[in-house]
Amino acid sequence: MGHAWKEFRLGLKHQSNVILALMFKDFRSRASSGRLGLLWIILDPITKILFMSLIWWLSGRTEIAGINVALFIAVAIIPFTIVSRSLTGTAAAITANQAYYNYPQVKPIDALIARFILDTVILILGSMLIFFGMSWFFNLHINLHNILPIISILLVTMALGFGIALFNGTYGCIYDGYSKFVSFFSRPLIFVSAIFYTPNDLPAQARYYLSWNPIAQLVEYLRYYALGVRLFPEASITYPITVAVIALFLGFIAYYPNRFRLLER
Amino acid sequence: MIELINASKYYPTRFGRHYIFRNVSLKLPAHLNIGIIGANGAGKSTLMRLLAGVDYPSEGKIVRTGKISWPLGLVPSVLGTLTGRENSRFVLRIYGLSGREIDQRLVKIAETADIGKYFDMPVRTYSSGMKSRLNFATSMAIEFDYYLFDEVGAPGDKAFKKISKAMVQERLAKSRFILTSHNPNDLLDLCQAAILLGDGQLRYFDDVRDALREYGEDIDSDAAQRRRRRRRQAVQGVDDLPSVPAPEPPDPQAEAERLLARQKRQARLARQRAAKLRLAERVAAKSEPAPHVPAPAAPALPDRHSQPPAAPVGKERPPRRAVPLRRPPKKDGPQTQ
Repeated sequence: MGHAWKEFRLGLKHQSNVILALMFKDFRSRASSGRLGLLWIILDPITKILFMSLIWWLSGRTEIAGINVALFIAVAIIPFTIVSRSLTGTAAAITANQAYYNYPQVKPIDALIARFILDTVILILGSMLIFFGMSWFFNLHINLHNILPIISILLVTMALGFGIALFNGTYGCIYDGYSKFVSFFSRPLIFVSAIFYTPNDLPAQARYYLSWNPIAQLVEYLRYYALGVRLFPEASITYPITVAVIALFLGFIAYYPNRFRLLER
Repeated sequence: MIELINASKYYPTRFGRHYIFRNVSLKLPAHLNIGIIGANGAGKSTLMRLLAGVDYPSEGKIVRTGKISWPLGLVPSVLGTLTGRENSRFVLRIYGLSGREIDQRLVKIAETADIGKYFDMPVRTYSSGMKSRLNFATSMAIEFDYYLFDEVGAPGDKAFKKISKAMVQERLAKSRFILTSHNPNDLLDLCQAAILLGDGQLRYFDDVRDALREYGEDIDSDAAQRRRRRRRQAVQGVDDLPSVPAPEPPDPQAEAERLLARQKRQARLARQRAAKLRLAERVAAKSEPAPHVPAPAAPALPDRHSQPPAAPVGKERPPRRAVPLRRPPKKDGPQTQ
């Protein structure tokens, strides 16, 4: 028992060394590949927010459910971006570090974890900045005592995202067309994830279908805790958690038998 | 210590499994440097990767204790977009060194690699020799129990080979080396034992020389030994003009060895000539059944080369000048009678 524990701790230390080194390296190469490299991680959601807000503003609507449109969309964009980025961009993280798999302690999953953590942390920090900037600009009150549920929602989102990233990263590396296929079919996702509307405004039938989308659920819960928007009747937090667990499970099932194939490429 | 337990490694191919080795149980002695020998495609690099823990055996297992380096060699283990310094920093980081130690060792790496300003330039701008310098310097900055060298010195220039050799010698006190090389002299310089790969088999030899002989390398002939001696000289010589071989200081033992070798060589040549002569004699005896010529007359054959063995008894010797240079002896025989 003592021995196993020691082994486990040593393994954990090695892996955290590797992941940290990969994160530093990723950060470094992002920062050195032009000024836009780092900014792009935040710029991408900002353009989405601006674009969708613009549509509402042009149609004469400035508030949804009593919340400023830009803020309403900005909150929803965070979980959406975490998940949608894992859907497509992760195979690149595995192939980009191919040369480093010559070191015995570096494995594809480390590259994936490092990229995922770095992206997510930068995204969340950046979004926080945007979020607070906006709430200051629009003079909104933020409920700080809800910070714990907000973090939990984000953690569930990250678990879901990582499971998907692992699954898609593995198959995206093995099968060339896979990533294109996924990115094509995930394009309409932004319309069915309750990003720029609230399910409360939809008819019951549409709400029912929407409730099957874990991203929509997470978005609604985040809005509920961060902005105080009323939850829709079909909302259930157990559903996205279950999906996240299943996604993680499937991700590992996809990765584990293929872990050597990823090395050999 | 590295131990293979019932280990097999194969690659699935269209023509069935391609085995590198099958069902091998072997404990690599911890006190020996080991050379890995084999033709191209025999699986040397694969074995290196297995020993390093980068790859895994298809069956069985490999138990490794101690700190083992990554397989250094021609396989790229750096990212082209990062600089040499960033790549080395990454390696030092994954081996768990602290920030201050990393900075200290980076200085040492820059010194060993000796690639000047290129250390802070992207690795994709490097030549293959510079890459191997960086790789070697980085591995030397970390203390391993085993270093795995897969044709490391191959692209390096003379100066680098000298430096790397000196560093390896220095490390020998604490660390062991496992290396592959197509130059038998590299193996003979450093290794005691060897593994021979080929035909889907892995064979271990206690003596690297046996393995090299089995592989068909010429290591015993005088020419090979002379080459080796010259090489040793070039590496250890102090002058920076290694293209002109420095005169060897008179080493009594080497002198005696050389003398002995020369004597042996001469004796061997003499023996060969005598044998040839005897054969010719027999042929002559068969093809010319002249009754009046007795068989013992044949030894009187003129022979320009070997004086001592052909000592004719009883008869007067004919004058030598009468013999044309490259005539078969059987025709000369009767003519001179």
